[in-house]
Amino acid sequence: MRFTGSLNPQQTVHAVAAILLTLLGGLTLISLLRSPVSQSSTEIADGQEQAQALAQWQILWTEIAERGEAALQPEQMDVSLRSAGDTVFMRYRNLWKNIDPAARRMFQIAALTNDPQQKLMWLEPLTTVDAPMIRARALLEVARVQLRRRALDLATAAAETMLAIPELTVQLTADAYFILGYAALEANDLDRAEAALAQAVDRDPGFWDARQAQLLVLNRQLNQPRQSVAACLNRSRLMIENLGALPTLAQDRTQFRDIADRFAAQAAVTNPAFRLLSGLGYLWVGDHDRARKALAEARKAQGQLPRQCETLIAAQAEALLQRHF
Amino acid sequence: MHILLTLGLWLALLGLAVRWPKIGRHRAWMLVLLGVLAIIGGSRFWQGILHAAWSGDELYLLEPAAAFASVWLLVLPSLWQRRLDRTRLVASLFTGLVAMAAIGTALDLGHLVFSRFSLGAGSLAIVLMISIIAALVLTGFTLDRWISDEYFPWEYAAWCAGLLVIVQPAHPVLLQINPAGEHGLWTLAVLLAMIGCLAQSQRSHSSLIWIGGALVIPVSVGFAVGG
Repeated sequence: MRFTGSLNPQQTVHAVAAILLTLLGGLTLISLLRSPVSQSSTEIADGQEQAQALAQWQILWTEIAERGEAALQPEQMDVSLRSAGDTVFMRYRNLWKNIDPAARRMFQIAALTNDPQQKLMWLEPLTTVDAPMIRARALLEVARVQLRRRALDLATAAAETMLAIPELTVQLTADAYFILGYAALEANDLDRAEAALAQAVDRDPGFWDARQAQLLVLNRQLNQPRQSVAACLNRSRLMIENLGALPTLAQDRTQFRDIADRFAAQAAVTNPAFRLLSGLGYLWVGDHDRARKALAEARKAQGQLPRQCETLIAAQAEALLQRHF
Repeated sequence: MHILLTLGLWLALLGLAVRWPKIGRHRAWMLVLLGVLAIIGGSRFWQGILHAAWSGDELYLLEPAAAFASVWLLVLPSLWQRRLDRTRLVASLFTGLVAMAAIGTALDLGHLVFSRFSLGAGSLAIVLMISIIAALVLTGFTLDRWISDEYFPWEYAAWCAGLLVIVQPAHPVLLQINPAGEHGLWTLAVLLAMIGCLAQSQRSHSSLIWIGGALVIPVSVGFAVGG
């Protein structure tokens, strides 16, 4: 290359790129010479949690913008699933195909027995057998019976024993986490209920009962006066995910309206997250008047939730209003 | 320290392009391929993505469908020109690698700078991050022109826009300006305008003005969107 005093266009763009890279090199050097921004370990953890919550919140809305409520419908791979309203731990029939006939008979007798003590008596021997699937199911049935008797500690203990059995299918462990979550909810331990139900839904996104219970727990948690931005965003996101998933699992779109009505009816609580949720529910069921009203209310920050969380909710409500009305 | 090495590698590739502008297409391809693979392999961001994919951890990326506008732009010109041969495909993937290296370096540098300065989420943070991205996109463009100088580089704009949409959750500034908003069309438009300016700079006597325009467009639009 001969230096002629002026650069041709190609050389100019190369020169500019080289200058910019050199500047970036300088910026890198200055950054490396500085110590990291001082933050306590709690602040760093909070910051990371918040960034993660923000990222998941953004992903949720991008998917909703692109695919609507279909983005929230859980995939159901197992055709044996009986989703809605099934509380006898036989949601996945295919799991129990190869069960020992004698054990099957004992389960059937226990199921037909009305007296809880009799049920427990029939199930007790099965909780100690070698076959892990039978033991697991027996422990789950015991936990469920104890839950009905409101013996919450015994129900929790049975579910925890069941979870300790190695190599269980994911769907079965989801059932145990549901029991743990439900027992914690009954005991009014909302944090433990929230964590356990999140595990249940993570492990089995098609678990209708777990999603219903999770919606209830998140509803109560979002009404708590003190919560972090990350918790507020995560709870709002999970509620919206449940709103989108429940009608699919129940095969009934009127659930959109039921859930929307439930949250809109909480008139005393001017919580923007609930307004956004009911607005979305009405929008997806086609009730545009109520959707517009709920979303307009969601835009108003009420000081009910952390400020940043309310701002993000208000921004989404505004975006929905602009897109659909 | 790895970022300094990466920037050194970019400069070295740039130096080769300046020293031997007519080195021959295959040699240029080989040099750029080795360089960008080393940059991608050394990028903490791409290493993190690979590790998360390998270990089954959650990937903080938008799904590729979010970048559908860019994908269409990659496919449509080829369909229109009825050129769907292997050479074209390889050239496009090659361009994609250059774009991946540029975006990966920008994100690594962004994370380093944001970890050392308290920039918050204000206008300065947006301007700085977009400037870093723009500088590396421009550098990638110069290398892309070195290896394929016969047509307007639609692919480079589409790859960069698509990648920015997909990696949106990877940096707070990207979350703030939301490249995936409006189906990623505005990001694609900005990248096309930027690359258009750069392509024009190669034909014009006022190269510097066009290059300046190419750098100002993304910064000003990003500032308007997120500032």
